[in-house]
Amino acid sequence: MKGFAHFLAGLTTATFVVVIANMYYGNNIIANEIVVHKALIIILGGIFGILPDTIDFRFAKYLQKHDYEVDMDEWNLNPQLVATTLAKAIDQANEENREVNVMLHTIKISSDQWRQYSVQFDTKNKKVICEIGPIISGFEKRPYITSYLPPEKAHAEASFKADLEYNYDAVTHVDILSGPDFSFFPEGNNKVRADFIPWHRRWGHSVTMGIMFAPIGFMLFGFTPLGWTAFWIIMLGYWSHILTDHFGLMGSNMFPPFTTKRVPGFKVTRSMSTLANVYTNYLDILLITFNVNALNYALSGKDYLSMQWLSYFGENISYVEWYLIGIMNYIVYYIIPPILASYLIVAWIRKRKGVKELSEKEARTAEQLEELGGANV
Amino acid sequence: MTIGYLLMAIAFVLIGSLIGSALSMLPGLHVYNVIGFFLLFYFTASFVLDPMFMVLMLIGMLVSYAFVFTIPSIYFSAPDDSTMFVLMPSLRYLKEGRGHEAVVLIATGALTGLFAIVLFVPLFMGPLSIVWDIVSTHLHWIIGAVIAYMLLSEFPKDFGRHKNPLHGLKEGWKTIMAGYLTFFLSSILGLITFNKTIVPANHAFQSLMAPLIGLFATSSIILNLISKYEIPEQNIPKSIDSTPQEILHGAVAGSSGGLFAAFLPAVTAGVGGYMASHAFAQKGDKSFLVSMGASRVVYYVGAIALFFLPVLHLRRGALAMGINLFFTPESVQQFYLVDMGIAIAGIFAFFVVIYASKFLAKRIYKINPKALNLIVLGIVVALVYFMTSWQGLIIMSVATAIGLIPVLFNSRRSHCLAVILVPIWLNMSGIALGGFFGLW
Repeated sequence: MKGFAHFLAGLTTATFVVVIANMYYGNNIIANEIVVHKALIIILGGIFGILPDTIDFRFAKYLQKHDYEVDMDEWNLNPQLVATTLAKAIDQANEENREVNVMLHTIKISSDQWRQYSVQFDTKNKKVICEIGPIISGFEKRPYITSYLPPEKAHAEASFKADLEYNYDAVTHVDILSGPDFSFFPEGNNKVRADFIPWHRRWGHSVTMGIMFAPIGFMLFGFTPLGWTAFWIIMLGYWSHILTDHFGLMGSNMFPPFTTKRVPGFKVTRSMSTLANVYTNYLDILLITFNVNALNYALSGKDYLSMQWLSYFGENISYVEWYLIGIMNYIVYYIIPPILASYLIVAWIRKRKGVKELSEKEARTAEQLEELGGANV
Repeated sequence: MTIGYLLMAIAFVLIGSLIGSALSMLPGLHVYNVIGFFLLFYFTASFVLDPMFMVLMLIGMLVSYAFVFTIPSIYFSAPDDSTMFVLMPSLRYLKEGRGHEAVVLIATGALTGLFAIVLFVPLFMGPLSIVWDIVSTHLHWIIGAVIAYMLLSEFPKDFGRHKNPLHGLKEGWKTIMAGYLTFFLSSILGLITFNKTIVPANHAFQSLMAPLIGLFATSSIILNLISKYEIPEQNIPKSIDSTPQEILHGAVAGSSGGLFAAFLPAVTAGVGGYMASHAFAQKGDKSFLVSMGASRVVYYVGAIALFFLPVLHLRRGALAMGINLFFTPESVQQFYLVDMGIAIAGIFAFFVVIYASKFLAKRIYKINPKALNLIVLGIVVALVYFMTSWQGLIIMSVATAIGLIPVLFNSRRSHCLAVILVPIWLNMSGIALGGFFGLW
């Protein structure tokens, strides 16, 4: 998901925690702290909701060591170097039985122009293919038509011996800002697994890290009701990031140091898909509104949303009952219908236009490349 | 309401639009800076002028400003707080001879934002009022969350070449640290501006002018002066070659961001727009430019629509506050009259933008960019001096120095908006930092 969706998911989680903590501690201790004393505790949810990507893109990226770095410039374009280095790294991982990392740097020409190139792993024929592409213009990636190289200078191939396991689509483009890196892991029996941007969605995207950060709540507010609430907000806010990312294909490494591989995602959607992000944000904003109304109701008795279903139960219901009936009514009336209706309209338009659904491999590649662009840039 | 009254109302909207369009062509001048003078004029002439006509004239000025300020932002590279985000893609467009295309994309976005206000705000009267009732006691953490997101969502823009992890961290964090420094310094500047009247007391209502111009406009102009570039001959295409999806995506994202900014205090169109571009997973310059146009119009014009919206009457922005000095919205009829005024002024301003852009696109390449920037700088400095005296010039110089940090270190210019966000947020959260800086 985009950073914004994670941030909102963290805030949503925080509002749930706050409502539950307010019920648990009674006397509106938590609601009073937030509304009357202006406590900023809910923001912790957003901060820790976005933190896994912050850790990966601001720290983990730089801690990744590379055995090989391919760094070409416009005057020394050498597709053979790229193909040979990658093929060599694959076989080296297999022969030396260790992880081998390769970094492919981008080719910057001016402040807004880059030379694009692509690499392709042909696992069937055991070949790495490199193709030097055109000069492109910045973020729009518009190619300059006259900048293509003649085919004989643009194309190179190199063979490798190991059996490569690569779960992504064939072509990876290297173009703007920083380039991608690949890790090759020996898996035994002449088999090597390739991972794209190996520093991402590893330890930073783990359940373990959420547990490790949670005590910050006590550091901020002590062992008070507010401290315990902050503890849960931080932990669940952090986990909300891992959960929302898990709806994509890439998955995360959940329990480092006990696990080392990413657990594949639920494959429900691509994490950078516009619709997935919009629906998640819509859901979050509506849930935050409901929870904030619930806090107000606990404090002042004013229910601005006045859900219809509640009127069937009369006034003699507890706060917990009010909350549960209210949220179910809210979901059925306000959350599900707009999402369902817009989803059906989009599906109908796509079908009418004959938009082809991506295969799992294509979707996986698209997700990876979008992730490389930065979860938020 | 008679036909005569309606025609007079339309005439005042058009007069306001004309004045607003002319003033908005001046780089650095914000419509809020001149509204004060019009209010002073009105207070002396109020016995002959129906207050509603004055309201409609001011709305005409605001709507045309929201549209027409695109021209100085793009052709003269002098943005304000809400157009700073379009500067990078639009300057690229200008350097590629596509300045007019950028203007048309932003103006198209602005037009979609206008439709969103005119058509949808009346439909959502009830829900908007409910949402305001719910969130109004939670603004401290909502604005705090906006600030937290601004600070945490910027990622390094290095090119991945480093000798060792430490060197990599240093390179990667250069932009982030520059952003945080900008945020910190802008916050202090904001605290000083909000807590102490440095400009002469009779110009106190203009106190934000100098910092905002310094942070966004003069810093951009100085960058243009020190960097080598030429404006090529501009192409005036027959079509903007943008897909309906790109326009729709940009319009929905921008309108949502603008509404978010219009609804909440302290959040401006720029911040609302870029948060919405993240929320809608926006890709590509065209959709982005459309969204920024929509966001800006919904922010400025939406704020006034929310003020007139029956059952809500939310006062956001200097115009709503200014109007509230002599006028209290009372009826649904007034709201629809304002809605009509917004629509007329918007359509008028749209054509002004298109024709002004065509006029400039045909000539801009003949002007030496350095000379152009020097002229723009001269106009901006003169305006600041005229409006806020020499004290304003000093504040503008400090703000310019701060505004240059993100420009030179390639970090986000949105950090400069801490000048407004932080003081208002601290105030809402009951955190008193003014004393800490010896301001009380």
